[in-house]
Amino acid sequence: MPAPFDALAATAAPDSFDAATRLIRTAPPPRPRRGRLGMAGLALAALVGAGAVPVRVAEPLGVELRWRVAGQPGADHESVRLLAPLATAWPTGPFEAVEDSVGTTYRIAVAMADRSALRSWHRAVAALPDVREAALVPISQTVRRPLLAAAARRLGVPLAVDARHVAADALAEALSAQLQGAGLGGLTARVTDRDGTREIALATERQGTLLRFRATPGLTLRIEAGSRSGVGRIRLDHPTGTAGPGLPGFDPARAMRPADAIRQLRASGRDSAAALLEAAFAGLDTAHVRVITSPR
Amino acid sequence: MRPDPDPFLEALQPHYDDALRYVRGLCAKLSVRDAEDAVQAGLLRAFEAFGSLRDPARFRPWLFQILTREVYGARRRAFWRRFVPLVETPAALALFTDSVDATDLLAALARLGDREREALLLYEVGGFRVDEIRALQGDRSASAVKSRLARARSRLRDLLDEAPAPPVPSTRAA
Repeated sequence: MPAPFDALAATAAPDSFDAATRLIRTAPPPRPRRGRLGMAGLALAALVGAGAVPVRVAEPLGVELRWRVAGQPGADHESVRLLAPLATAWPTGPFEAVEDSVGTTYRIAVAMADRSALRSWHRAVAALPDVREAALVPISQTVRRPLLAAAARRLGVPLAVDARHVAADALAEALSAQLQGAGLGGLTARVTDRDGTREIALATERQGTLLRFRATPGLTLRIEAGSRSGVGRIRLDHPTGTAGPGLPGFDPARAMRPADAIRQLRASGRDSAAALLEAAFAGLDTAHVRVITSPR
Repeated sequence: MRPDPDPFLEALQPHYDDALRYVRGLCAKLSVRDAEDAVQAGLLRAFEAFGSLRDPARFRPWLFQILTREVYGARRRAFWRRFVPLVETPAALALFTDSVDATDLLAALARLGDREREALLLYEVGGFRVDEIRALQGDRSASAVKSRLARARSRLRDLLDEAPAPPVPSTRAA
């Protein structure tokens, strides 16, 4: 289709190449690139500065499971039995059963968990004949945090703490901050240097219920894993078999049962301390915890 | 240090007329003034960067690529001009004149998609082969360029058959 484009030739001014030649010959020397680099630097600084601006974001903490059944409250309800495996996999809040004139309303808060498991629980409970309604209600909190940190949280950036040259207090603070930033609710870290080794204890506090991994002789998970950069030693203390208030079969330790964790790690060939922590908390949240190494 | 303009002008001259036609067609949505600004900025940028052109045989696609970028830059500037009043300065170069013959074509080109318009002009005015257009437009396959060209030709033919055509924007008095 060349013919229509011939019309474009008529738009060019005659002898314009002479004018273009004059333009090129009288053009000032090329501009130095330094100015452009300076502007790029300023733009980058502005971007980083903007990233540090605190913003208010609503972050998910977990889900409240809520359902109503006909009749009196009781642990023998089928819906309560369906809840047990779910509640053993993730930290939960207090289990409430409120009786009224027409039935019983159950409520329990579950920390961030596998959504597909929650949905399958919801479907199973809703299908029970004595359940009148069942709902999953998201729980979120509004927090202020730097824009970049909020964005990183949304993108699921894994935690990364290099503990090789960090004092115990600073490590505990950094680890707790990252756990908080990763949406691990009230999970806090405590770090103790003792006899040349470093112990990290993690405790979960939820409203109304305290889930704390305590130092209990005989129930202590102690893992030591060597690496080139140092010896990682993580100690997770927790009670097992302790029922939560009002919840049958409540077992907060299931997600990090020591023998299972060790067996899985050995089978995978990843026997580092960081891998242990990753595996131990895999059931708590979608966050990944990596690179935690104590000094030799 | 200021580079010697003669080698650049010598390389530019055989491609100059086609480059003007290409830019005018690519600036179909813009005014004559914007098209002149784009050519002027593109020529100066090419002159500055001429020393970095390793293969003189690739001068033509290299020049057209620079001009293409400048045209899109001119379009962005034209957009912001709606919100930021700029002091109008006379263009250093008077490169284009309004032509009644080109009015229909420019109006039709203005209604094509950017990449379609660009591909069609590179092929018809620039004389580039499909594989060269593929490289210039950053496509993975030549078939994508062929399809784009076919769509652009068909659409342009339909648009040229329509009448009357909308006026092409211009800031210069006819």
